[in-house]
Amino acid sequence: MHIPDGFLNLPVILTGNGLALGFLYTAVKKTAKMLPPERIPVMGLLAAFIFMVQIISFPVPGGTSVHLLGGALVVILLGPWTGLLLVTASLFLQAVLFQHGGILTIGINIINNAAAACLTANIIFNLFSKKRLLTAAGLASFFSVIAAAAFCIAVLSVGMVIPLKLAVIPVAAGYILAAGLEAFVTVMIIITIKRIRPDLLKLNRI
Amino acid sequence: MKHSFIDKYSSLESPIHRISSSFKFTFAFTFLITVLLLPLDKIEFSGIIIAFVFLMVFSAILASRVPISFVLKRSAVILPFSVFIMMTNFILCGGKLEILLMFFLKSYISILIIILLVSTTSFASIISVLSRIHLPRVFIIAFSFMYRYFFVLIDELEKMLRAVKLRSCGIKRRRLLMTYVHIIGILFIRSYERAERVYKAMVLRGFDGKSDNL
Repeated sequence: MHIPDGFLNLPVILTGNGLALGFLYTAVKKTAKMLPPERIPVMGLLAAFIFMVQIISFPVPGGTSVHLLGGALVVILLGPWTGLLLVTASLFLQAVLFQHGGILTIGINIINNAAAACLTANIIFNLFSKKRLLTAAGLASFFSVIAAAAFCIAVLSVGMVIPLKLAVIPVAAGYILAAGLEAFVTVMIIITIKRIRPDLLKLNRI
Repeated sequence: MKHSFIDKYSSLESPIHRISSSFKFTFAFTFLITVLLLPLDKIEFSGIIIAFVFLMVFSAILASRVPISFVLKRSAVILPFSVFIMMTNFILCGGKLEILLMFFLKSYISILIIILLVSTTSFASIISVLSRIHLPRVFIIAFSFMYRYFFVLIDELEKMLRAVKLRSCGIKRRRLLMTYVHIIGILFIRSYERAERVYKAMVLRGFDGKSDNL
C-alpha cells in the first residue's frame, strides 16, 4: 500500500523520512564499498524489472488492487541492501510518474515497502536457506509482504490526520492473500531460474 | 513499438514547460509542504490557502496545455484509497464532514501539484535536478537505467504475451496462469542477461565503474 500525501501528520512524516534516510545511507554505504562494477547494469536492469512487476496490479475485492513487491526476489538473489535500494528506486518512480504514493510520504513508503519488507525477507531467508531453498524463498517473500502491510497499518493507525481506530484490520486480511500470491510467484521464479540459470542463485549477496 | 505513457506531455511547448526545472521543483515542494501543514480543523484559514493553491495549480495546468482529462484520470488513483478512509472514519469514528472534506482536498491538491510538476518536466531534467541535489550515484544509475530499459522490457513482455495468446487457444485456466508466472521468471532471466551484455558493451566503450556520465 502506498500512502499518498495529505494522509499523515507532520511528526510521523518527519520521523519516517529520517528513518528512511538512515536506512538508505547504510544501504548506499554497504553497496558502494562492495559492489563489483558488473553489478551496476544488473542493478539498473533489475530496477526496471521490479518497476515493471510492480505496476502490473491485480484487482482485489474492495475497489483497490494489489501488486507484487518483488523485493524478496531481489533480496534472495542479490542481497538485502541491493533489494532495499532497488525497491526504493521503484517506489520513487511510481510516486513521481504514476502518483502511487505521495512525495512527502516517500520516506514512510520506503520504510514499509522497502526496508521492512527486504530486511524481514533477508532474516527469514538466512534462517532457512541452508536447508531448503524453495521453502526459504516462499517464507521470506510471504513474510516480506506481511511485514510491509503490518508497518503500513501501524503507521496509518498512529499517524493518520483523521482517526481510523481498528477499521484497518479488515484491510489487513486482504494482505494475507497478497502475501500468498507473492510467495507463489517468487517460488515459481526461483524454480525457473534454477532450471535455466542456476548460477544466478549463487551470486554474492550484498 | 512506441511507448510514451511515462512522461507523455513533458515535451509540449508552453511557458510552464520552459521554466527551469529546479525552480519548478522548489515551487512544487513549497506548495506540497504548505498544504501538508494546513490544520484540518481551522476550516476558514485552511480553506482560503487551499483555494489559493488550487487556483495557482489550475491556472498552471491550463497554461501548460496538458489535457485536463489526462490530469483528472491520473489524479483518480487516490480516489479509492481516500474514499475508503473517509467512509471508515465517517461511519466508525463519527468524523465531521467539513474535516473530511478538508482532508480530501488536501490529498487531492497534493497529487495535482505532482502531476503538474512531472507532466511539464522531462525525465532527463528530473534526473539532472536529482543529481544536483547530490542524490547518491547508485540511484541516478538506477533511475537512468530504469527509464531506458523499462520500454525494452515492456516490449519483451508484450512479445511473450502475444506468443502465449497465439498458442493458448483452448488451454486450461490453471495452465495459462502457470504460463504467465513462468513468463515473469523468464523476464527476470532475460533482464539479467541483458544487463550482462550491457556491461560488456559499457566496458568496451571505456566504462571503469567510476565515471558518472551514464
